[in-house]
Amino acid sequence: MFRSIALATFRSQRWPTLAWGLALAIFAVFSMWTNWRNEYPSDEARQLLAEQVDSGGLRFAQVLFGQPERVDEFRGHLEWRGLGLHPLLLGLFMVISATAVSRGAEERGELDLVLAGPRRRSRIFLEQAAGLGLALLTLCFLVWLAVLVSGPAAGEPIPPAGRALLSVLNLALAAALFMALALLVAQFARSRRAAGSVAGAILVASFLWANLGLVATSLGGWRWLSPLYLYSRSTPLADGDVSVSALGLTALLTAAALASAGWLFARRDAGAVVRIPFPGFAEAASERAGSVSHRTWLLGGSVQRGLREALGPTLLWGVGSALFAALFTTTTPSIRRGFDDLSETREAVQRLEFDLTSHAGILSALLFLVLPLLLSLFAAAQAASMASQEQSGRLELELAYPLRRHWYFLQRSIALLIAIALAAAFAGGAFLATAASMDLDLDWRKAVIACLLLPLPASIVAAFGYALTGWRPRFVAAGVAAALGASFLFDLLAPALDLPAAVQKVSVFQLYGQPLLDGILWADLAVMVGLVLVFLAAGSMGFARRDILK
Amino acid sequence: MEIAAKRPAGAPGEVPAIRTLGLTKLYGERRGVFDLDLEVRQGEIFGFLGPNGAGKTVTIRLLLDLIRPQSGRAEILGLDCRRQAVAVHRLVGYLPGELALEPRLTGRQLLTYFANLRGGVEWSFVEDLAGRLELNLEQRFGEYSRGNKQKVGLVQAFMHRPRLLILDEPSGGLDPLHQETVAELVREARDETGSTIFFSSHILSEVQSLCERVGFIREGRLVELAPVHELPGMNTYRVTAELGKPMRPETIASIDGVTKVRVDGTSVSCAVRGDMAPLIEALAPHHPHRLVSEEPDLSEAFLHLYGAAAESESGRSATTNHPARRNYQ
Repeated sequence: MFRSIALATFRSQRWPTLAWGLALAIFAVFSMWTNWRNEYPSDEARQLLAEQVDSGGLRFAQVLFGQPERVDEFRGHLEWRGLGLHPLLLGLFMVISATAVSRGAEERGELDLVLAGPRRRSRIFLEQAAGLGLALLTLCFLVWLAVLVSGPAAGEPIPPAGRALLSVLNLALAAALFMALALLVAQFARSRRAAGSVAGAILVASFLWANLGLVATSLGGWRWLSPLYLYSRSTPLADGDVSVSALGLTALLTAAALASAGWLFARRDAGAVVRIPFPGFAEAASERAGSVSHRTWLLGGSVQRGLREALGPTLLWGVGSALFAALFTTTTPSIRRGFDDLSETREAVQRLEFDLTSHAGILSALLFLVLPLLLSLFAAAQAASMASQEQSGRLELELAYPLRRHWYFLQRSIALLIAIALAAAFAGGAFLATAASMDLDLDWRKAVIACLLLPLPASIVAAFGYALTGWRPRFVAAGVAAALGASFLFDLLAPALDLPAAVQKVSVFQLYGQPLLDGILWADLAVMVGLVLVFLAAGSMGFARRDILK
Repeated sequence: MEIAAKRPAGAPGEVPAIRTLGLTKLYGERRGVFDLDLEVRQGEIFGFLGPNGAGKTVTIRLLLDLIRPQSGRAEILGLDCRRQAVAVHRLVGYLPGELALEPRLTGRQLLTYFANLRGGVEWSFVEDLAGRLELNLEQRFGEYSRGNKQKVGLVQAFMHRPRLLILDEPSGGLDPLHQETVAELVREARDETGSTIFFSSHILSEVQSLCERVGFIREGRLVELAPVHELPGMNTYRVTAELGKPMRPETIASIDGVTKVRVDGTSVSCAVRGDMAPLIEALAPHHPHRLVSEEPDLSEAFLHLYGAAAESESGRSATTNHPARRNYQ
């Protein structure tokens, strides 16, 4: 495994790759088992599903799973519900891995020795990319196996291996494109976290943009702006349709992004960034002019320092979420008009347990499903920062200062909770302002409540991350990602499992519920606040008791 | 070695600056510290020595409550390091062996933050320290050289004039000129503020020139604790001579206190413990035209205590030494 940089890169990612690959595989098999076998067990139910799709009654689900094709057949259903989220999940893994082996390795100073060896920089870069490619192939192999297994698991024959392979190839190319984009972004970002945040935001925005265009007809003509539009052009499992030009273009874009990133990597200083001469980087410009900024604001203590660290990602995610909220809110009337035209399928629509005939119902089922997820992703990315600082030795000195460990821990947690609240305020504010300007038919008290409650699911994710930081700092990133993924997937699959309401509340997204329709459910609110407090108390206790890593 | 202390270190009745009692922290069989009893007096400069992995940093991290002992206890200025950690940290300035700080912040921003964590410090003193160490505070930490990063750590350790300075390899990465500045800062902290300085170092000449007492640690156990001049090997001089005519080794080997005799033609070398006069008298008939006596240094004690296993490492350290030489030519 140490014979080449490619193998060493793959080795560094082998456990996350296996864990993520298994999770994706299990998700694909499990969702088919629950959906195909339990939710749509008969031909009649599947026929009704197809009718809903044809008449536009399943637009809400398209925001998450993309364009449905032949959903009344097993293979079509598999490609839509079983693999619909995989471009996002696979892409997310590649973004995390790519930023870890590029900017992360530079941050930790691990790359200096490699760069001092007898290899050209461009070769080192290509070998790293090859190592990431190996990880991607491993993941895709596991997903391919899952596609094959999902047939028997759902009581159907094994899907054709060739078509399954083409479907996974389509997935792999989409994920490779975001890996290449993440490597490109890493050339401009000062830290792994910044690179991951920007590349992750591009991925999430691309995913939502491509799918939102399916729902909002006014945006349909602009779907091509998303790189994932190319992914949606091929549906090899559903109907054998493969767009060679879309696959080729994705490969070409990937190659271009890789070449650009490699070119920049070979020319810039090790450990430094490629500077972009535009206003956001005014600090860098002033540095060149010989006057480095002496700003010492937000350095008054640990809360302020935590906020300062999270400021960039908070603005990025906050503004991104706000744009999404505003955009979605503007499309709500057109979505509602679409449903109004579906009088013949109204009965079928009502079966979906969502009220999609009112502005509030549409926003609650779609926007307020995605916004808590976006904020939770932000919280998950930030929750690992303290643990990674500890592992790189950055807490050694701070904890030798006269601060109680409990208090230091809580201050850092509070800083993250404030950052989450700020990001949520951007999103909620944008939603309220847009909805008010469009005079949507909403209960404004409930709208404000829905916005005020927005930070809570993300706060639970953050507090869980801090609880892990308190006890097992090495497992924070993987633990939070796994918990968040499981929570979201459980939220999607729980209705099909017909579980008791109390059990369904295991998911933080179920706990958040539909405040835009239901207002405050005090019991759920108390559970959410309680979970945050319990996680923080547990983390604080663990952090105060254990040895600090060095 | 002349140190003009304002008050004697460890005046009677004073609580020790550092005291450990049976302090134990094990990582496997041979790593960590085991049953460590150590006492450092107030106002003294104490050197803490040992080979790599001996347990120096573990001891320091235990004193700062960054890690917790499996048994035993540690006190700083009478305060329990575990239960009164915050009060202890108020009194201590700490320089870690490996300094890792936020790379995007400048030296000034980092020092501002650390000053704020202490509730503020006299900023003119920070500027003064930075000036003496020739540290540009406007650069980002990630862009500093290794030595300049070390200077940021030194400034933050000294800036609040702590009663106890715990410095883990304070001269690491510094050039000789700045090593001397650090030595001056250490002496001033002791003389002007009455601070106690506890530091670990591999630069034996630095320890020898600064410290009154040293403690040697090996495989987690304290193997020697004594004033520098009382350490084994510290009263042994290395003598080399170039003679006018050859001499047989037995001529000097029989002299009391002379050991390790080597004769190579007209070149003679040996170790001398105690009075030098009998050796000089024995060499005189052979017309010595060059006689060099190297003052004893800590590497002798180091070699003595750590034996052959440490010899190669000690040899490397010794090459950085510049022991004063008395030339009898």
